[in-house]
Amino acid sequence: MKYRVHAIIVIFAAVFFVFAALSGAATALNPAMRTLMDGYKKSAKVAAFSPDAGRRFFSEKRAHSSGESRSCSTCHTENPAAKGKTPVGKVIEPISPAANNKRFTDPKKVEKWFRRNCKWVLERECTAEEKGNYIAFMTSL
Amino acid sequence: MDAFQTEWRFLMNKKRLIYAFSMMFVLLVAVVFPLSRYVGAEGWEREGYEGREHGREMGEGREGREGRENERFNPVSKDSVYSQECGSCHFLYFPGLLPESSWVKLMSQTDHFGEELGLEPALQTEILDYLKANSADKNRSNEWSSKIVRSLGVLTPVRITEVPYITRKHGKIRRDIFERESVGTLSNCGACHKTGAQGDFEEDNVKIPR
Repeated sequence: MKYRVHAIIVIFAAVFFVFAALSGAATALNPAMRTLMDGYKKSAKVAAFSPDAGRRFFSEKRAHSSGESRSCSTCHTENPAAKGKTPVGKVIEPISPAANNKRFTDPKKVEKWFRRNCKWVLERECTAEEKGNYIAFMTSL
Repeated sequence: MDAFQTEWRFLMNKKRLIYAFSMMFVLLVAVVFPLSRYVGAEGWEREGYEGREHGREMGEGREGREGRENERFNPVSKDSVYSQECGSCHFLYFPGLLPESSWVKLMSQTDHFGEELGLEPALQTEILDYLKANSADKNRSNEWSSKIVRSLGVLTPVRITEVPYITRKHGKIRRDIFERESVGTLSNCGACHKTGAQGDFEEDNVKIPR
């Protein structure tokens, strides 16, 4: 009798962990964001985005015309789950949706920040493929 | 009989108990009440500007501060466009920190201190209208705004750190403090002005981080 209770607990725990692992492995995008991603796919003419390419894009350091070396991680830090800092010292909440569930939920905001921040890092707007890979990387965390 | 019991008996004497309570009350009134006007000050009624002496400069030392009511800038709503667009990147500077002419100049620049804002025209207008309506010249009932305007004369700086009154107020602080990791730059007001985000720049609430 005693062991049966233990067994039930173990089974429940196992089911819970499997479920958590399945749902926690990637952050699911909401319908509005999926539409945005589909749009990126269409304009980039790719079947799927690469989280690995997104990871490289995130930490790649590029020479800026100001003489500085700039990267997404300059402000967001190398760890997307950590808090970042703007050039003037204001705290940036984590960019990873696993650490901050407000991230990548509003296509308008996502587009606005890509526009602004791509110009800061790359001195140009990002391509649809770059944006798709970036989001694919973030949601894979 | 141990010390605790002795103490307890001493206290339980009715006369002494009344005496102790009245002393606590007197202490409360004499110390805590006047102090709270400088420290917390939230729940307390504040006098209008008329009740204050005019023309006195801040930073004349403690005696100069005596009797002066706590000043603060009107808080900016968190949901406002100004807060959303500008406050994401930097300390949300109160419109009362610069005159209207400075805000107009700043918002017409395409280069925002090395950044491109890329604001939608409608948002740009909304932000500028808010800044103009609450600028230092429109907010002269506020002591700080009034001093900022007076110190400027004909100058229209686009940097708050170039306002003579403000540079003077920060003149005695060692330059290397502003370069600390915890501060970053002179434009990160909130690093030291712990209550700055709420519009309170009182010297008493300044704490310089390590």
